Amino acid sequence: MTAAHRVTFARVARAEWGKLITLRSTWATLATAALITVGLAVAININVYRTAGAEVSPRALTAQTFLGVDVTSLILGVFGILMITGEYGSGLIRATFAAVPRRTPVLLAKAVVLVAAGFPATLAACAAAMLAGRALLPAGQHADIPTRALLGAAAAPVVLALIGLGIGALVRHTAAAITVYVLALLVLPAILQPALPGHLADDVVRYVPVAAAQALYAVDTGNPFRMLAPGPALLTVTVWTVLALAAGGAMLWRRDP
Amino acid sequence: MIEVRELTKRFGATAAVDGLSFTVRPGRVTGFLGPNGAGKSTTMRMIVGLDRPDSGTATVGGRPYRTGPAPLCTVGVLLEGRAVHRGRTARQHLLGLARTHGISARRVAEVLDMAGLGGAADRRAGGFSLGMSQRLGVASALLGDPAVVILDEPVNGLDPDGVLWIRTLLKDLAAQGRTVLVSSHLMSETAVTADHLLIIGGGRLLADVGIDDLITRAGTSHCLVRSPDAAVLHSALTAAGATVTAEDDGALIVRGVAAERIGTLAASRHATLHELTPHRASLEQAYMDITRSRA
Ligand SMILES: Nc1ncnc2c1ncn2[C@@H]1O[C@H](COP(=O)(O)OP(=O)(O)O)[C@@H](O)[C@H]1O
Ligand SMILES: [Mg+2]
Repeated sequence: MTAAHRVTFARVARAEWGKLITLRSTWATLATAALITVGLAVAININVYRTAGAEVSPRALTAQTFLGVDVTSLILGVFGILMITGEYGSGLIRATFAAVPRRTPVLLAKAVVLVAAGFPATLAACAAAMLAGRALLPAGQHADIPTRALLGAAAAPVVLALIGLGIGALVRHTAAAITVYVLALLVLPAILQPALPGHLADDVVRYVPVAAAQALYAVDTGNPFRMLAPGPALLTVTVWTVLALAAGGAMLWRRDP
Repeated sequence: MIEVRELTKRFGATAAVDGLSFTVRPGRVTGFLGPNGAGKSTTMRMIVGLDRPDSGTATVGGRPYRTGPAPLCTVGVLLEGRAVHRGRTARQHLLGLARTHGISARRVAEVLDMAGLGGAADRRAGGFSLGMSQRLGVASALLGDPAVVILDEPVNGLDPDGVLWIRTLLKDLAAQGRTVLVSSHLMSETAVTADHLLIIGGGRLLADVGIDDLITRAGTSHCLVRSPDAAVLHSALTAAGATVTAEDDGALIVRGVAAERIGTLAASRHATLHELTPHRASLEQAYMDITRSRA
């Protein structure tokens, strides 16, 4: 073989991109997530503005339009988990690691292609939801969704998918990883809220991944204690993502596939 | 060249591989032989860096597999069990591996043809028979045109055509000067292709021997002797230390002395020989003896 044949990160990322887009489930998942995002935005806005005197404001429009993003986040979280547990389940991971024995570039490449495939899909879906939301405003009234909220709503499911990818690498079995994901990300915060004393609960809960991800697209609620501001929210989700991927990467490296 | 030194791997209380050392040389087929559970698959996984040894080292071409810049071009490996996502086609699967090394789509098509999967290249691997999966695994091993090829029980699940294909392939790869290590739990299969044997049991090396040496070492188990002077021969051979059994048809089964000695003895007693046939112990028997005595 010529010297041209060697492993580089760009090549691993290209390989992972090919692997991702050749699975039907990738397209099915992204299409489903997009349809749900747009469908829920339409349904919720129609429902709200059917009532005369409903609030018309950037805050209300944003909240209503992106309420469905929570569902998208769950779907993409599982999508992120499957990107790695699917390889363990099929045994493909051994072929993958035989080709890239340093292993961690594989996880990093998966993260990169997850963003590359996921973010355009969620952005398109959220933009469509935004247009639908604006079109459904009561006649003669006007409100806008800030661009930051649009980008945040598109980013939130992708962030949770990256955390899912990290959990998948950590746990390796699909069912177990989904269980861990649901318990740690969705159930635990819901339990923390009543379990902790009031002021402490708010302080803790707004830093959990799901709350911080929601804060990415929340428009000023008038109550600064409930949610993080967009900047700290971005920092918080970044820290969670790096932690999850680092933990997953360490496990990939240490344990025999 | 594969060099394994004092390799050890435990799973809980079992030592799957226990202080194993051997060298696999290029230009010949080395059979890696041992009963199920002997540690063959574990050893092969350690050579390609998938399993981490508890102690010891395995190097390929002088360096640990994990540290090379182009692993697929150094070692091609077929591992035990499926290693394909059911939802991808054979071609997509191979492309997913090839792209990590910048190996071309043309090479992917080439190995698919070599593996006899040209017609099934764009079918989903989920629908493949065991034999086709095995062929796809071999195709992926050949992808990087590696100097070292490691195949774990490659004939498993193959139809007779496939078995023949593997045998020819192994010999061709060795003839091209590559290092070929192929595992099996069957001596009968290994003996067809291997030039050299590594026999293991209980994670330890039991024999590191050329197939010709093993045939010699297996030695002559007995000689069949027919003679009109059987009675004379019988006593002469017994006196010479042989164990002699007389068959119903008058033939003698002689153990413990070589055919040459029997001939010489017969001549010295002027006994006529109608037949003197040495019977070799089978390789199968030699293999059984080796694994049974030391495993
Ligand atoms: N992942 C594993 N976990 C626990 N035990 C294992 C694992 N892999 C292999 N073993 C055990 O190690 C021993 C050697 O297995 P293996 O290398 O598969 O042997 P072979 O390939 O020669 O049949 C067996 O006792 C087997 O049960
Ligand atoms: Mg085995």
